[in-house]
Amino acid sequence: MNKKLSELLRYGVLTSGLLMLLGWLSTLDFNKKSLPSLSEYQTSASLVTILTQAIEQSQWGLLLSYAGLALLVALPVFRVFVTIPFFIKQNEKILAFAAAFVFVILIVNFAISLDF
Amino acid sequence: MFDFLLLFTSVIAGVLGAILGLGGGIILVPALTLLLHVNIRYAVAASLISVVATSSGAASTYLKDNFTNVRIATLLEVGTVTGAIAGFLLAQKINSTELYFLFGCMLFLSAVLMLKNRKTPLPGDEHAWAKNLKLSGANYNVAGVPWALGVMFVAGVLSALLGIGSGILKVLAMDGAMKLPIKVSTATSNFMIGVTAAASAGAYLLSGDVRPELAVPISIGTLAGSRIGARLMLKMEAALIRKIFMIVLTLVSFQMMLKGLALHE
Repeated sequence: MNKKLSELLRYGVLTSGLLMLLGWLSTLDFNKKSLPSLSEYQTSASLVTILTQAIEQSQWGLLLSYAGLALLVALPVFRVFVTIPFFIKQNEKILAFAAAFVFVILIVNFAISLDF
Repeated sequence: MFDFLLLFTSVIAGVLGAILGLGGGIILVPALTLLLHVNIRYAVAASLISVVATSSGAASTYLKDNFTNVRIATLLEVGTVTGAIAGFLLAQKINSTELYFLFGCMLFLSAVLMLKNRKTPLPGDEHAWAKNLKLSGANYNVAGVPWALGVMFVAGVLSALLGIGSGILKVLAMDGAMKLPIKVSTATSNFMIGVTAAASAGAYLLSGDVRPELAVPISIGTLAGSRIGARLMLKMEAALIRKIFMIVLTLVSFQMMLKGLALHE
């Protein structure tokens, strides 16, 4: 299992890094000296709203960056998911339950965050 | 220009993190807030993304070397992920001044813990849970499982609140309570950090607090920096750098605490 998980993480990080790099390079602004919008916290629009606007305005660089970010965050979640059948096959009920619990909690956490 | 400044800062954070065995977050958040004047909430959210990136990258190497105990990680992640939810919810109630102060305290704790030389603990008695779940390795027993689970919950809360991997707490629990060999606790902690950070990073991403213009160059920079740092570590006198950095960390911790107090007035 360790080898498969290692490959999953390695190729996942490489792919997400590549997506983020492409997105970043396509939105790069050499004249920007600071990011004033980042010094004051403003209540953010949800990711769904941001993505909808980006699609409407054809901001492909931004969309690529978000795809990289989403893939990166999904990697450990997917890693937890693949350990569930592994522990079930090994007849390790408690560890399979622990992995399933972690996976469900992660999904619930993401669902809760949509309300903020 | 600002993008390259971000990239440069995060490469340095990645290099230092790898040399000192700290996550990039504990270096990145003060650098972003104190040097580049980024709001601490955006800094925390972006830092969590970079923590997922560096942890997943390092975990793939440790897994290949068979140092990671996936069974221990699976059990302890119950504590860290539950803590991460609590931390994310708490972060919505807490203000920037309190975040600065808390971060300062965590930095100070990290500096104090860096003073301690890690030694392989004496083997402990195998805990009943460890026996039932076959957590022990070929040449080590696993002790103190409930204690470690409790510390993992705290580590999860702090990770979500402060944008760090809380590796220093995880390693402390695995060395101190579970009596794991150093290499096993380092590798297993790294493996778990990705899940802990992803719990809150995903929540920040979905709520729109992860700003790609900040998070993307930082993640690329820390990933590159941690690879450079891992190679440099083999050629450098890490003990001396640790001592110098411990002093820097202490000074920055006071600066963060003062900033928290100053904003409060």
